[in-house]
Amino acid sequence: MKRRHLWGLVPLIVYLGACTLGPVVSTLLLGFRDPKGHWGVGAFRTIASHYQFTDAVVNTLAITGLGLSLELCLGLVAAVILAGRLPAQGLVRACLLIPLGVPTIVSASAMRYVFGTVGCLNEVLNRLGLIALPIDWTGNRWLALVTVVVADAWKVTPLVMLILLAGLQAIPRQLYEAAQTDGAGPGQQFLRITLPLLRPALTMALIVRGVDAFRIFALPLALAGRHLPVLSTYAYVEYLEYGNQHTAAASSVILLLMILMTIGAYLRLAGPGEVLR
Amino acid sequence: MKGLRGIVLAVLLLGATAPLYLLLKVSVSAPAEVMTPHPTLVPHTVTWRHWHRILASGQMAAPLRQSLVVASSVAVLALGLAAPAAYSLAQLPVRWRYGLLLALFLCRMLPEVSIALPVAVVFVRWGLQDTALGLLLAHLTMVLPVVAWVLTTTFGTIPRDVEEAAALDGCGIWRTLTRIVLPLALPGLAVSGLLAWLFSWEEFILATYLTLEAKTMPLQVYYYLYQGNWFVTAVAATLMTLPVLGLSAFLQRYLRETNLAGAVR
Amino acid sequence: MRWRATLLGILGLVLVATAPSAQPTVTVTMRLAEAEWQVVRQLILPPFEAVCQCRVRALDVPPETLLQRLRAMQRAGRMEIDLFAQDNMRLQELVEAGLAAPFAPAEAEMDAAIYPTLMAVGIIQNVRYFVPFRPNVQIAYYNADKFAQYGLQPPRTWPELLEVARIFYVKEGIGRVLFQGEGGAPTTTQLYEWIVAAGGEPFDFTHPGTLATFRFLAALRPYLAPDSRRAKWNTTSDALAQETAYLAQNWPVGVPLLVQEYGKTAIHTYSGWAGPAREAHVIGGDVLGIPVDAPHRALALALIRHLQSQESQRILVGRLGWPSLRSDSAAAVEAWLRPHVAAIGEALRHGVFRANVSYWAEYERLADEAVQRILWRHEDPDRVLPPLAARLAALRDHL
Repeated sequence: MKRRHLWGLVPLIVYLGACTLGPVVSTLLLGFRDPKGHWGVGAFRTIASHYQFTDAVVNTLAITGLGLSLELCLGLVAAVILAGRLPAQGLVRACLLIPLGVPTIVSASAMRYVFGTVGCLNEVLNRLGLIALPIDWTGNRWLALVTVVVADAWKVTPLVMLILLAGLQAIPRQLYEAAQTDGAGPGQQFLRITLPLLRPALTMALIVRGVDAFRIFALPLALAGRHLPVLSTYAYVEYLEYGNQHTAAASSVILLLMILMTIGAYLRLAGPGEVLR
Repeated sequence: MKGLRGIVLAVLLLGATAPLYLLLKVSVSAPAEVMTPHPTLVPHTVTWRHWHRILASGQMAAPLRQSLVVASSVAVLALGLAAPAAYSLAQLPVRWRYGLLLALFLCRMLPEVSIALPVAVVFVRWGLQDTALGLLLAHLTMVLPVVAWVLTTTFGTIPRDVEEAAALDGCGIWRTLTRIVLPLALPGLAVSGLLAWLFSWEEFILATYLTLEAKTMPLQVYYYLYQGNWFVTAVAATLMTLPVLGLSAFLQRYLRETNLAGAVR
Repeated sequence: MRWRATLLGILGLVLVATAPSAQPTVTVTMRLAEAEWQVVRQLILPPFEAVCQCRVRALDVPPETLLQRLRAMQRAGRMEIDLFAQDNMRLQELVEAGLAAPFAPAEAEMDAAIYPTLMAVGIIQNVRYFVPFRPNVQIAYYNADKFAQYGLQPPRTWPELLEVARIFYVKEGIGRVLFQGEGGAPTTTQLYEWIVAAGGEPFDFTHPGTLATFRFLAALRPYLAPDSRRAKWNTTSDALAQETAYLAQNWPVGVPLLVQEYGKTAIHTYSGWAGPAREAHVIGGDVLGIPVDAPHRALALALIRHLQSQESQRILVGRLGWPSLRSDSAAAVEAWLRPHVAAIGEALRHGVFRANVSYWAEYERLADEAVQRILWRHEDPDRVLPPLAARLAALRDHL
């Protein structure tokens, strides 16, 4: 590795240092002050005793956990299908990628058309004769969580599919051919060849998605309102409704710590050498 | 097995396109078909009234232009800033590489709402409120980590032998980069460029604080969502989605398999 | 390379596009619905532009973000807003943050035709920071067809309200009466007026009238429409339009939307119902203020006069059905709007102002928690309220 190769890093680091470091640090520090300007953990103590905060933490963890699982499974299934030979492959792939391009705010309003009280889903179920009265998809807390997870997965799974597809295509075909001649069935090939070699791609998908999953904001707000708080919407309400920058910053700090701990835990469990290339 | 695959694929395709179909449907429906306890699933009458109203009001032209300018600039600049960095990062040992990448992600790990105000204060002080430049700079900070990550992986898959072969043939680093490395990295560049463009196109929290008058598309849709009616919202939302579909259709050919990685390994 | 040239070209275009214009520009921010903006932009602002030889830049800024935007601009030393219209309940925070500029006594002299009761709202700690602009009040919307179908009359008292809610629930198997339970301003506004209607004291959760209100809410709970969880001023209109709610309170802004745009002529309005003590409706609306360091203060003051003038008020009352600011702007209200304007006027006759206390934000948080836990977590009011009452009392006595 030649030293001059590192020059490429300079513009990036300079830019981020100038435009990012300041706001991030000032936000984090705000969490450790109180309205009078004294240092302390008062803000943290306040939010820890706030029932909506504990709800927000649980909801965020649930949405992230369920969401990532769903997205990885669906993305893997879609990637496996796309990796094989298909008629009109370009068109199929383009259609499957559509949700990725739909802006979050558009997908939030589109999901209202699906999951609203007078939404498409209720209408279809009604016409099939399965329900007489509309289901309130975001009334009950756990149903609301599942609804938000599904709505979010709709938009995000194509990205996971893309990343996993790239990973699948990097696996050389000779390995599969060799395994086949050795008598391994498709299931065994999948478990022994595909999954292990897919780990770097899975890591990338997990981290890129995981960071954003914790920060989910528009969908819970649009679908379930303030009764399904997640950390981002909690910070938002604290900031804009109650004008309290310090508790908002404190909850952001907690969100940051959660993300860091999750990534750290994943890397430690999976072994960095194994999952990163 | 083939049959199962077909069914799963059909379900996936239906799921992927249904919400957008609904959006389009609402935008061309008569109010009586939507504002009722039992809305129609397929429009009985198609009305262009809502589209006409939005397009005639001319309120979408400026946000559309602003968003296109900002998103395109963000994509180009993100690639420009991140590609050299990713190339360098790909040369580093694994621990350093991902340590640095994770450090870059720091900004993305805070909810946008929390950093929006500090960012806004800085940018307003620099006279960047309501400018495309301000939005560009703010979006870049959020986009660079992901672009850098994807490109680092992409550059990492390009085998060293190819570059060394080029160096042996007498190519300087610049020529190696542009003639050999970049074309091989094209799919990765296309994907990360697209991701950067998409992020900027839909970003609205930072945009809320950085703009007063010169709205971007997401802000306009947000405005209609809360202060307009369902139909203008649907029209604005569809308008916002169309360029994306066009762009991803255009970039389809770059999203195909990289054959090199498989062949050499 | 080509992309470099393209990038420079784009940056160049951007810089050119943001060059300032020659005429003085006065910037005013408000939060209006789309239909209201059309009237303001086409009928109210152009006459002012012609008279003052300036350009008016009218921007839509939601009340929640106004404080942060002004703060960001003030901290950066670049105030761009000359005049703002703000929700009359979010004034204290602007004054405390030092963002609203006081009016000099000469500037504070208002037109004699403006209702004196509306003048009091802008005075905080004996200094006038804001002037009246737009009074607003919630009215009750109901689906006349559905009421007729079950032979019901729009309720005028709380027992009638409970009965109507119960009948709808029994007949249809689902609640059809909407309460704006999303949390924040919509919920606390409704709660405040219901407490006053019960003869209670909004800032005292131990007062018998206040307790009665919460108990009534708990009694109403099973019969509320499920959409109440997410109901605020815009989703309430949706619920009425889609007939998931047959009775709801909301600001009059829903009227043009429901009647004109969606064509729901079955939706009628009336002033609402009375509580055990009286009929009470909170007077909300917007007031005008000038930020500290506004660049065009004189123009802003002139614009204030224009917005409060008889001609402007006539247009706003006649076209949008806004409650009138002045006693002399009774206008020819358009035919479809007349019954609704009557309802608004009746509601205003029973109007009450929310007390502008300095701890309103904390009060809102406590009231929110009370409503949420009683309505959506099904907790018993007698267990939920005492600890909240204690915290509220601490807030009150702290001053």
